[in-house]
Amino acid sequence: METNNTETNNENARPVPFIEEVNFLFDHRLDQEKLEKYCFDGRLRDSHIRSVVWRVLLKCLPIKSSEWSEILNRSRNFYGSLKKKLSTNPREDIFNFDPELNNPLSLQAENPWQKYFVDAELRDCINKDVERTFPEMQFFQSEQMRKMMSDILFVYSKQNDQLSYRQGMHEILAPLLFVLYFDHESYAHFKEQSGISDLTNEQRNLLDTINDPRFLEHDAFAMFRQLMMMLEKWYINTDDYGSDNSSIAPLSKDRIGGVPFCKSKNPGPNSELIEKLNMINDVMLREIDPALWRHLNSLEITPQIYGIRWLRLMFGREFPMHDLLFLWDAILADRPQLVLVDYIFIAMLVLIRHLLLCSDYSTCLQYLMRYPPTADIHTFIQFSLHLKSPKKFPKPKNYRLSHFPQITQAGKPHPNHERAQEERHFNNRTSPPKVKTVDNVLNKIGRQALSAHSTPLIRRRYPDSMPASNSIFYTDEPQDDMSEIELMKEQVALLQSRLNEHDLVARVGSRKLLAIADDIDLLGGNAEKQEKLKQEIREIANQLTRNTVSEQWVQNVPTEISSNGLDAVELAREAGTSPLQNNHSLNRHPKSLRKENELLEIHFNPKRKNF
Amino acid sequence: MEDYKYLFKVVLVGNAGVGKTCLVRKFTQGIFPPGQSATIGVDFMIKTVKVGEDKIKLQIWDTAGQERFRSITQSYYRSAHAIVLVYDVACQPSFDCLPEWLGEIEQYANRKVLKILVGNKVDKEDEREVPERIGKNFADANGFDYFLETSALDATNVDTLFQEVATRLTNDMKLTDERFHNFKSNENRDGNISILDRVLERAKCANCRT
Repeated sequence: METNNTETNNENARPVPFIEEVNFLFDHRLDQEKLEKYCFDGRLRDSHIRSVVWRVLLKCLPIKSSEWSEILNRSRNFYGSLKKKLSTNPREDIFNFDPELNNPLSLQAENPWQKYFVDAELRDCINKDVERTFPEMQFFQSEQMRKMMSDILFVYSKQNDQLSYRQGMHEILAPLLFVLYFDHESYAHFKEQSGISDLTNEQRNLLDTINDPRFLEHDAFAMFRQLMMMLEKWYINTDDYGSDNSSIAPLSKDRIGGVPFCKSKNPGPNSELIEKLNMINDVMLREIDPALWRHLNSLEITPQIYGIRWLRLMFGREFPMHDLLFLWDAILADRPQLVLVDYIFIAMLVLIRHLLLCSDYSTCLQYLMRYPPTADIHTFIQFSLHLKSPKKFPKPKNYRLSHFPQITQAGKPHPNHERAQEERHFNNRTSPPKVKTVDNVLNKIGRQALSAHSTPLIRRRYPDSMPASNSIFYTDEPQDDMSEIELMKEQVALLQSRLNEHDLVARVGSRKLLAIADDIDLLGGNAEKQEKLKQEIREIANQLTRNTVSEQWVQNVPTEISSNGLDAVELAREAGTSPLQNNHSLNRHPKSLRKENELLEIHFNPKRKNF
Repeated sequence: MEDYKYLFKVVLVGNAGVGKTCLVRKFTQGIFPPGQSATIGVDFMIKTVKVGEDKIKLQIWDTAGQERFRSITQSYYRSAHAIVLVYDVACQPSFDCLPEWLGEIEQYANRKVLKILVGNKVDKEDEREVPERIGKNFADANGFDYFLETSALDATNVDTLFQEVATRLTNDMKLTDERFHNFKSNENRDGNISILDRVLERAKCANCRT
């Protein structure tokens, strides 16, 4: 059958068919542990039930599917009436004609216009941010989506008077809407393709209710409210409650005096967010990676400089959307909730330690504020989990080679890299590697030591923490020997980011095309022409989901680059220059690089001299 | 070592959405991003400029408009050499908030900090709500060192703004340096090494740190 054929072709790339997902979801034996494993294993990555699983994990829905209908009904009604109540316009208030009261110029407290003006200000504030939500994603630019976001945030802010709206909340809401919307879309698609005919009536009804696009806004609000319950403590400022403490300085000195290494600049923790960041830095990082902790400390890089954004947005700017969703799968599934966030924070630092340890203040900050793209999110999450429970989760292999320091999340050249190249060009490769790490007091001594030896100073200061042999830190290698590897990494990085981008765009496009193809039936006219048109559209859609890089070519990459390193560089160069010319690949088995669980691991030994 | 003569910290503050980040990006990267996400917390950029023959490194701290968060912004204020207060000429409320910002600056910033007032988005001439004269008057009345209207969109005065910041700070610093050297040579003649001398030396080191 034509439809089935398309279906299988299209679903080929997806690891789990929809039916299986639904069965998993409706299984009465489903429990927290199973959900957790499902999320950690990355099985939500291309699934169509992510929004439902998230709702369960956020406790919007109980784990038992039998109770869902009723609860959904209740929460949707709740939002509906709340929104109605909050969006009154005094102009339309036909029950209040008293000109003394209902009058924009009236100074009476009950004047509905007072509230109206305050609300307008809040709206304005929200809309300013909503309009610039993920500007690179078309999804959030539509009028309809903006209105929805604005309404949800407005209702939330009115309901939480004390906190109100804070910058950043909009980017907590955005991924929730994204996930809900795409699940609705794909469900509608499956339904039209009769992909759910095997289900019982009851199950189908329930799915209809859950994926009802009319309630996208309502359901997003419910999820947002639950998530914000956990995150709001990071949005509260002590300043909000007028606790102006004029005696900060002497107080903090007293309090901090006894704690060694505590930054005296910091006026003591005065919000939960700052407290949390200090705990992550001064307790966790200090224990897990003392060398890195000392390094950042000596540069006086406090975690709040970069960490406020990391936490408030739950890493929304540090990972591209498709990786972020997987990261959130893990964060939401993990119990106790949000603890994993601390370890992700640490993992992010530890995994770029080789970049940080040999960088000065500005360079470090640039890396932390423009976090290098993670090559392999799965490995990254495994590593975070490992940090949290080393016994339960083994350390993933090759976790160290997981970042692309040469580019930014957007795929542009990283400012540090640009600068380094400029300097290299400037100094014509003659100067020793630049390492500036010392604090003020040691500044002079440091400089002398540096000019005398080209070895990074950090190693001299903390010999215990830097293993000299079998180390993978790039600082151990003379910089010039590394340039070839750097080049190769750059090529791979660019290639990977381009691939990821194409992949996502293609899949969204293909999904839309398939939906259009199904709608052609609705048009009147020549049935034969319609069929032809449909076929053509489907073919295009299928081609879209195929690789841009030849599968065969990928398989030919040796997983172990052993004898001649230059081959690998050549390979990478080729990949960087001509991936799109391998057009014959279009007819090959459609399978995505990313879906195969991540980038091919290229093992190379940076110590090898012939590189 | 990087060869720059001075390093200055410049902090941008002002209401949300007045275009602080766009100004910084236009200056440091030469681009006006069509969509620019809201800044959360604080952002950081560096750019080296030339003042005469000297290379001057500017460390630009771009703060979030909504962030009146003492524990975050306080330290930036205190160590800043220059504070650029930005409003949107097409948005009266952003101008009305200036006294509040000024209060923050006076409370937390160094007394000698270079204060600059900037009216951004002059490309929106049709939507202008704050005349240039009003902005200028406000700057004069409130002890600002410099006032300028800019547009990150069409690059009006963007380079001028930061160049001016760098020039003024450099000149100030050179004056201080001269005084310091005169002072030092006097000291040496007496054969004493004063504590002040060391303190100054150390303060200089702190400024040079990148």
